[in-house]
Amino acid sequence: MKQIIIKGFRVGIFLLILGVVIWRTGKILDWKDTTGNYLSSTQQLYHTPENTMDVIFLGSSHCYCGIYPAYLWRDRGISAFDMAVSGQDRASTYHTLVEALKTQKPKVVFVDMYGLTFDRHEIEGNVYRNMLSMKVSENSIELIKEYVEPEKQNDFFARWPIIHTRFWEVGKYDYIQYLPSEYGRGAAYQWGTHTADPGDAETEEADTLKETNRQWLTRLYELSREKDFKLVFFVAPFNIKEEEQRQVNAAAEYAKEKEIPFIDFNKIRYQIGLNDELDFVDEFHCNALGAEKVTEYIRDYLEQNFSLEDHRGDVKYAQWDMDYKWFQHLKLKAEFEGDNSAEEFTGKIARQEDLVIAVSFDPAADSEASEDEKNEILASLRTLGIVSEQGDFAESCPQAEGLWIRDNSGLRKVSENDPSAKPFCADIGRTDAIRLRYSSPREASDMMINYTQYLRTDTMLTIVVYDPFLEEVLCTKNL
Amino acid sequence: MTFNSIDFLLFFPIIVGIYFLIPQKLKYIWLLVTSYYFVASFSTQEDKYLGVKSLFMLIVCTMISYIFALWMKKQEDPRKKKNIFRAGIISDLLILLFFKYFDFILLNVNSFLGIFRMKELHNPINILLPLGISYYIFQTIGYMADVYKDKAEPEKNLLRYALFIGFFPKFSQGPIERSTNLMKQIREMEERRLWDYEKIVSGVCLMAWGMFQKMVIADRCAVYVDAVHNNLFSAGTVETVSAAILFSICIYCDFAGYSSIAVGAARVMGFSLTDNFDTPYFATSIADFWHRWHISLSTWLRDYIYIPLGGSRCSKIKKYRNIMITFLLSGLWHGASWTYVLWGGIHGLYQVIGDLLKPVREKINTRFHVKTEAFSYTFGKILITFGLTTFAWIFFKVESFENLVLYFNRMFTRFNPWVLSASGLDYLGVNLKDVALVAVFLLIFFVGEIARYVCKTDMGTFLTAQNIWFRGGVLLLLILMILVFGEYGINFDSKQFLYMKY
Repeated sequence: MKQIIIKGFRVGIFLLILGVVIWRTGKILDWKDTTGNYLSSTQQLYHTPENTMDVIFLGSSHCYCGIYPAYLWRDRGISAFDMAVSGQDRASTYHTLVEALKTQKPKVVFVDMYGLTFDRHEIEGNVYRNMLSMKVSENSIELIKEYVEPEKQNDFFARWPIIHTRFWEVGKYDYIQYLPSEYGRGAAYQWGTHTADPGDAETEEADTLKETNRQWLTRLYELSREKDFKLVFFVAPFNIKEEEQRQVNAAAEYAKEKEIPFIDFNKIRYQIGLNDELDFVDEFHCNALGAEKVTEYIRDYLEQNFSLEDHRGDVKYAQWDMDYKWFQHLKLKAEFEGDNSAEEFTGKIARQEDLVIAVSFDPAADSEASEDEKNEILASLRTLGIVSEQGDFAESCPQAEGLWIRDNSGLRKVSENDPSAKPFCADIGRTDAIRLRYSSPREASDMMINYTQYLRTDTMLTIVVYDPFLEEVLCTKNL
Repeated sequence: MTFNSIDFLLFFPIIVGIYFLIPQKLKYIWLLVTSYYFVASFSTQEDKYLGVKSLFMLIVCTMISYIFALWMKKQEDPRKKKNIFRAGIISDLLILLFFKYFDFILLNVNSFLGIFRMKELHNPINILLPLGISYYIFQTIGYMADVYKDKAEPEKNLLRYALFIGFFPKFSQGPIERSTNLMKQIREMEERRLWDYEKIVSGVCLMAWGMFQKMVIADRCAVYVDAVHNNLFSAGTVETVSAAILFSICIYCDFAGYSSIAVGAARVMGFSLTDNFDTPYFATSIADFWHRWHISLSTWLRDYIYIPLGGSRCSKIKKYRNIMITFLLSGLWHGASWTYVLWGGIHGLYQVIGDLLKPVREKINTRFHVKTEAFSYTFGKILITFGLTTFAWIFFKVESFENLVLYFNRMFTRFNPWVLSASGLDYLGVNLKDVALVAVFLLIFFVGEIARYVCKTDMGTFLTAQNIWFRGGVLLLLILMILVFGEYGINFDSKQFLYMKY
């Protein structure tokens, strides 16, 4: 009997360790994005306090690129959320809404009609984004049964047969939580510019609504009655084809029949001021400028038709504040990516106090620098507070030479010209560390964040800007 | 249902759990039911009912051999007994001939008639090949031969006999079991203690090792091998030689992996199946290779073909004839194609030439004072044997004579080692990280082979003899490597084991 207990105990311990190892490995390999780059609206939903979303937008990339809840929060304190997933198909739209309704009681739900235009996903990744992002539940199983071919369903239920192939792409945020996937509100903020394809939305003709589409719309309509929310159909801007528009027109007729409001942004894209040259990040997705115009229209629509509470200042809605902060940091990053004069650049980083700035100044590095260049450097050092307002370049050099850092503890010099001195090292993020060491000439100099060396030997001034909020180096400047 | 499917991962623990819970005298019936379910559950995209059709043929063959064996036993007259035995063997062979070789024969007859510009007999009819037929037909023939020679008693209990033929761990790819081993164990099931903790642990470890061989090594190597074979026109010396070497490893890990899972699964349930592989690539000669490779088939061919033909106790000419017949049949057993026959013929020739050159080799050894006891001599023999078997595997892998000619052409042209650089590998659908990963797995596999060679036991028994922390750690790592690095799931379509088609 004793032997049986001992053996049973051994097997139990082994199974326990195996279970923990498999669970942890599964967490690492698990599918984590619905939008790309670890950003997941589903994870954001699970991190949102109950009953805080007043407005939910369902849809695909056109939705999360075209509608920014951050604008609604900034302007009116409306707690909106993009429950959008890349290429969200009809079944996924319905079941994602069901998932959201488990914890939220929205007053208004906007559903993007992009799902009318296709039956199957063209991009394999979008199948996984839609099928594998939800927690395992009766709802997620029903979704898989509805969309996935019967012979592949077991692989989707088990998940491992799919996610295990990710082992080469596993990165930092598979081991630690990607924070925007907690506080983000579903939008993907982008500032790039590309000429858009306006598509062909002019036709007023309507085809017969396909049966699968009718069933989908009816299902959504019935759910809205059952769960008591106002349903609004909309079409986020994209390059729609004529035959797709005819199906959308048919859906508009259906909506009219059921008294469901219908907003087709493809039809009113110029009316709301969308500019094909400036307001798109690619041929068919809005950038932040385009999203601002679309979201403002929705803001006004909501204002005219609903009385939604302003939640700004309520701690329960802190995630909307965080999301807006994230939006601002990404905007700043986008601004740094553009052309900035030294004065503009240093002005921006000096004002943005939550950035970590490392500055290396070696006046001997470029003996051929012109007076103008020297004055530009001097002005930058002054803006950053490294040298005083008085004195010329030569007078300021001894005071400024070396390596400086500005972080939570303020601005200070951390390394003088001493190759034998220990380097300055500090943790500046959850997984990022900085290492600074100065010498002139620069054989023993370092300006490293993790394993990347940012120091250049041919410039007098090197500035590295790290954003602890975004957990990344925003930009570097060499003068 | 294949061993590397989710279905089997669910099926096996459930059936084993029930197996140990039900009364002793019902266990064999339970195993028969589950074995038949296992067979019936096979399906392919082309044929959803492949398993059901295969089960039907399994039952037909089981009944034929069962009836003929009992009939033989009742017959007192040796001449009549012999006739019954012949009738039983012919019935089995006709079934095999029809399902496996009918189209092959038809194609060859058509080609022959074509030479004389005569009309073709009939187009190939694409007969469905029932799963595992080559294995269980050989098993039933062996059983009838043993009964005929009074080496074994015919089994009267039809269900027990049906389990002997259809026992699911060895159904689709062997080992080809003898009545003296498996039938005996089935008969003694009620008296034997089937629950054995050590055996269960050993069986689970062996199954994990088998899955690692199949899903992690064989299927990963197959990606490169298939890429080279599918792009033969673009290939050169480096690609073809490396693909040949990798195919040697691939086919071994595939088949040995299956055998390990089969032996391990049977061991969990208290059965001991024939060990099919014993470090074949450590063989020092081709004859030694065949003592280590697909042992259950080699011994079957030895006992039921080679020895009845006269074996080696006859003139040299007859001995060589017997070797050639045995190996040509072995090739034909592997598949209805002349490339398989050639593969078998090459192995036969290796042995004939090896035997003919033996005096020359001995003279050379004496003349040049070669230390035949030294490790370097044994190592050299291992390398040469590996080279010879690898060369023969090319015939096994290529699908036609045209490809064979092209393969050899490419082996001796376009020497460009830089194809193994990152961009060259990219073209073949492989990246350097994959190569590094496979190298690590091959190292683990090599260590496993050395452990097997030194300890003379399989991985299951070897691990069971180790300390619990080492055993548990290795098992944990194996399971994790299978789950993470194994080739399975939605993007993987090579779900079948290579030897399943024979």
